[in-house]
Amino acid sequence: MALKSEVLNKIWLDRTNLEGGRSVTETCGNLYVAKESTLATPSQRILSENITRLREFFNPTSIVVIGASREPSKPGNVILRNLKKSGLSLYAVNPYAKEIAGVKCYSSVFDVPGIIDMAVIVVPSKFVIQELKKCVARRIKNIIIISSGFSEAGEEGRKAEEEARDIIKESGTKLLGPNTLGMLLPSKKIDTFFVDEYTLPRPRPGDVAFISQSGSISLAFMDFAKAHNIGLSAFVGLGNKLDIDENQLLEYFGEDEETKCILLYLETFSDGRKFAELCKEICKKKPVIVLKAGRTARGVSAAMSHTGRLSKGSDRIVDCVLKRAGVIRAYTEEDVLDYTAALSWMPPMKKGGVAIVANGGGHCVISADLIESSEDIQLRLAEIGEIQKEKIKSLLDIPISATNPIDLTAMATDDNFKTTLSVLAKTETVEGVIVELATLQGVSERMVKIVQNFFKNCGKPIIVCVPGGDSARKLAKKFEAEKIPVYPSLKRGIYAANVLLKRGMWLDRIKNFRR
Amino acid sequence: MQNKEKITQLIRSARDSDRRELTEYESKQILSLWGIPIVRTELARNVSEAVQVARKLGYPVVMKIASPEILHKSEAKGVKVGLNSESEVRQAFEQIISNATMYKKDAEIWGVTVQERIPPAREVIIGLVQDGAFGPTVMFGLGGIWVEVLKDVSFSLAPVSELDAWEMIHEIRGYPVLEGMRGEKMADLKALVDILQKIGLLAIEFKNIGEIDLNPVFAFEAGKGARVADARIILRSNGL
Repeated sequence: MALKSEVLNKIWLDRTNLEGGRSVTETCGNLYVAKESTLATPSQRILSENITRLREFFNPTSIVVIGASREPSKPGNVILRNLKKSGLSLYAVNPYAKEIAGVKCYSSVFDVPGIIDMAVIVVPSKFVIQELKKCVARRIKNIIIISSGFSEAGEEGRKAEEEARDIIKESGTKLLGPNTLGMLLPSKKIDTFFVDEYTLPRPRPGDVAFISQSGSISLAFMDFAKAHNIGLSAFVGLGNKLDIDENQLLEYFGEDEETKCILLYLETFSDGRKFAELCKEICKKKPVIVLKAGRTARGVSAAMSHTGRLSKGSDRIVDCVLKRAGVIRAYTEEDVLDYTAALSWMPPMKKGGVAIVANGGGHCVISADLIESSEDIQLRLAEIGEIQKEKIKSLLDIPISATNPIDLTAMATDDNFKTTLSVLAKTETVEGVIVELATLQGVSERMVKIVQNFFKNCGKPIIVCVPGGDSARKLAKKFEAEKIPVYPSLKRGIYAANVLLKRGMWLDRIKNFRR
Repeated sequence: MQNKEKITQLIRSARDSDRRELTEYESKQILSLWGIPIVRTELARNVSEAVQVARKLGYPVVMKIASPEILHKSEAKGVKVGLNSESEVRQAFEQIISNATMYKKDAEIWGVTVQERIPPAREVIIGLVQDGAFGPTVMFGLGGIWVEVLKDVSFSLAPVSELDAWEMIHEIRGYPVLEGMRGEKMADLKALVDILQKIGLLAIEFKNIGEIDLNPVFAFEAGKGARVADARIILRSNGL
């Protein structure tokens, strides 16, 4: 950190020195030439320069908000208040105010003293270019443009973006946006959302990085994540991807040690080929989940051939390419949440033999149907041998058949589940378990500890389904608090478990396929 | 190396005459030079050459119009199958040429291709397309209604690794057809893997190829290989 300040100081003092900046842009232009080969290639060095640069971007120590507002409901005010919680050196630019929300205001970014690591621009779109110019002249290397009204708004906005691109060119500036929520780094409390925490509570710090091309769905996901105890290492809104795009971020979070799972909501690929190549490398280390929307709106230039016509606009290409790269594809916002919980809390499965344990016959039958008849489910019901069956039966005080799915009946108690799970933990054919609960007197919150201990002791993935309403949700929350994936429907639970298998199968293929 | 130059030459000559679409004959020459097995096909410029080729390949044969200006050969009534004798070959040649002239007056006609008829096999389609987001992408599917109606295809980015190719084949819903149904033997999947990989490499090596159709490719029983029966190569429009 000291080194970074020193460098910035030098640049700030010597305004004519552009060297540092230029080298960064030059190298960033050559990103991701890396192929499948992993370490110690020359391109690896270039990649890590990108990472170094983004690491600076995500670790600012001083921030200026340009376009701070006195009006409490305005973005320029909300953002300032949100950022204040970070405890970083915070400045505001507003030519008409002395102080906003306890933060001192300056009439221009040039008047702000000292080193500024990051600028957050919230002025109306027509003023953005002039403020951006000032920031670049002021040697602020990290910029977020929150303001909208650019390429998404029409031709004029598109031109403004071109101009902005020219302004930052060769300056070494990293720019996020425009037209973005910016970022949320829960562990550092860096938060550029223009929504206050009262309206939208933030998720806890955690290990999921979320990169998104849309604002509104991201806010919904924040709310989801908060409600379901999913913690974030970072949220980054791509906006119009003027500079920073999903590939740069993917590369960064692929290496980021705080991040164990990466989530992307994308409408367009900046460079689909690079994206696929990056995912293929990263997925060897951590799961990547992609919700790619705009499935029908893809263009393929020519279509003179049969192949061309079959491929034109085909979402099947995206499907296949993502699958080969090891990506878990989500199709709805619900999938995203479901898969994230499963993949970030449970290990993958290789073969997919699961045992279902339930305290209801209907649960068992519906699940068996889903597993056996859905084309997109590769899970299967594990064969439980006679010896294990007898063991389960002899240990329980209720008459059951112990055939998978195992129906412990409505009379089942926590202890019955515990006993059954202890046998399944040692049953080799069972690679994972799905516990399906009806909220009856027999089962209590103790189930959380029981499921947790099962996982701790044998390491097999375990997923819980509690279909129902308020009482189900109440119980489900207890599981989530302990990072046990829990689902409000049998179907969602089974699909989530299936995703663990998809990931495991991919890892296995990549590792064990002989040339 | 020499083969690469020959392929470059074939592509260049099409470019020079302002053609984006290579003829079946040219396309097959390229495939053959690239090591992809094709159904034996030769160009006959006149009747006597046609008879000669047919005798060499063995009856029955298939004959098709060879013209850079007629690419929809069936539409021009330019395809005759199951020709069993010299007289049938002679008759077919004349008919194909006259149909072609009727279809398109003044069309440049190179002659007629004569190709060996092959035993029944399972038909697949292998193709290549330049995708807007992903660049060169290889496609695989089962021939006939599987692609026509069900659009049952799978894709991989070029170059296609061996694992990618196996996955592509296994991914289509019609896979059991290749595995063999009603006592049929497994199709030669290894041979298909090889073609998929070679098509990927062809697109990587020759960047000006825009689209490829190998349709159909005949897949014989395991161990007996696969061969391309019809092929179209289309060059990219941006004068590369």
